[in-house]
Amino acid sequence: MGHLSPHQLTDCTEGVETESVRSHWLSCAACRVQVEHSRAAIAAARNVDVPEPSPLFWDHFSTRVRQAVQSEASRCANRAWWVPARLVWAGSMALVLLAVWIGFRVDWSAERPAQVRTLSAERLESLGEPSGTSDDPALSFVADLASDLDWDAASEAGLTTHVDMEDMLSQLSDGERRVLHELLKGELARPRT
Amino acid sequence: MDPSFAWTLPHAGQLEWNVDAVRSEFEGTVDPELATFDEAALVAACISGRPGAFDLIVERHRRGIYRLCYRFAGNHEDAADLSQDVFIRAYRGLRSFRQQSSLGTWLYRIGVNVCLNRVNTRSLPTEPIEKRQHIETRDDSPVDRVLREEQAARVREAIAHLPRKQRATLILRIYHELSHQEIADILGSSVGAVKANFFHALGNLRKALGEEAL
Repeated sequence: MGHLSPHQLTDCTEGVETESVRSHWLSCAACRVQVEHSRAAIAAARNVDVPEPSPLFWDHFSTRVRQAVQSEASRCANRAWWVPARLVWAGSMALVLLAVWIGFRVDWSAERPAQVRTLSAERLESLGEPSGTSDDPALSFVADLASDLDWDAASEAGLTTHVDMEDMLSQLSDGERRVLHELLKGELARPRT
Repeated sequence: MDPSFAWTLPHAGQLEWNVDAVRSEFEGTVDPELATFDEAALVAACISGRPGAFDLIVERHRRGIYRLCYRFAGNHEDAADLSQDVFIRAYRGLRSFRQQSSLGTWLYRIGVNVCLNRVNTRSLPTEPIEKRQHIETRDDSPVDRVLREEQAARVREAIAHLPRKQRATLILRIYHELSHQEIADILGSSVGAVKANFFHALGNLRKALGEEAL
């Protein structure tokens, strides 16, 4: 068995060690010295008293504590009435902020369909324009390329926007609807590979 | 009832005696029934706001708390302030006292935390003997008293420079004779850690005091 642990040495110092621990420290000089030193330190510490205050001190002490507790109690009572008021105020502010946020969201989403409809109509106009009739050779070139472009490829290329189809169709002119009809017929007639 | 009252005694001679009687501020404020309450009932009475209930808790535990604070602070004024702080914190936290330990142990826990947080060991004020507001209880000669006080000052200084947990463990074990389990509950440690802290505290105390002091 090696030397005793601090835990065991404390038990020896206080006389509550186990039999095996006692037999060790009685036979081990190093551990015995440790125990003796601990007991001497305890004895030196125990000689230090706390000076006893005068009896008046205790009466004044109790009075001071009572006064501090009473002011604490009245402070808590004052806080009690305005805490609910503060909660009501905070709740009202939260509701106002929520209403503003919802209103903002509604306004913003109300604007967006108009942009989409405008975009869709512009996009359809450019798509419906017969190739070769534009004065701009660049546009003619793009129109030629776009005529062979199917929807999936256009979507992957980021050329499409998420639109409400019924809304979009209601905005088309008669000419635009005829062009769209022709395009759809051609697409449906094409054999699937 | 008025705390003080006066009456005039008629006297056969020319003088009349005026007698003033002043009742102690504390006397009469505690309900006698409260004195029969156990700890749990007393705590419940405090929480329900019964007058005098907390006064009785203070009266029962003030000495122990003051002595604990004095061990940490080393002087009367700081010990008194710390003790007052302990009871105010106890009053605030009474509703959260779960009675898993005794009320005394709970108060000691508050006291140790207050003292460890507030007491600065590097500036431990030493209290001159003549400034102490205490009552001498020993029949020592003046020389013996001075020697004893000097030794006590060295021990206090040595204890004040112990690491926080060692200091708290030593004070609670030697001066308040709490069990290792109670100390572990107060410090949030295990019994083994408390015993190890106690051993190392004694070793450091011995080193600080030196061989001849022991």
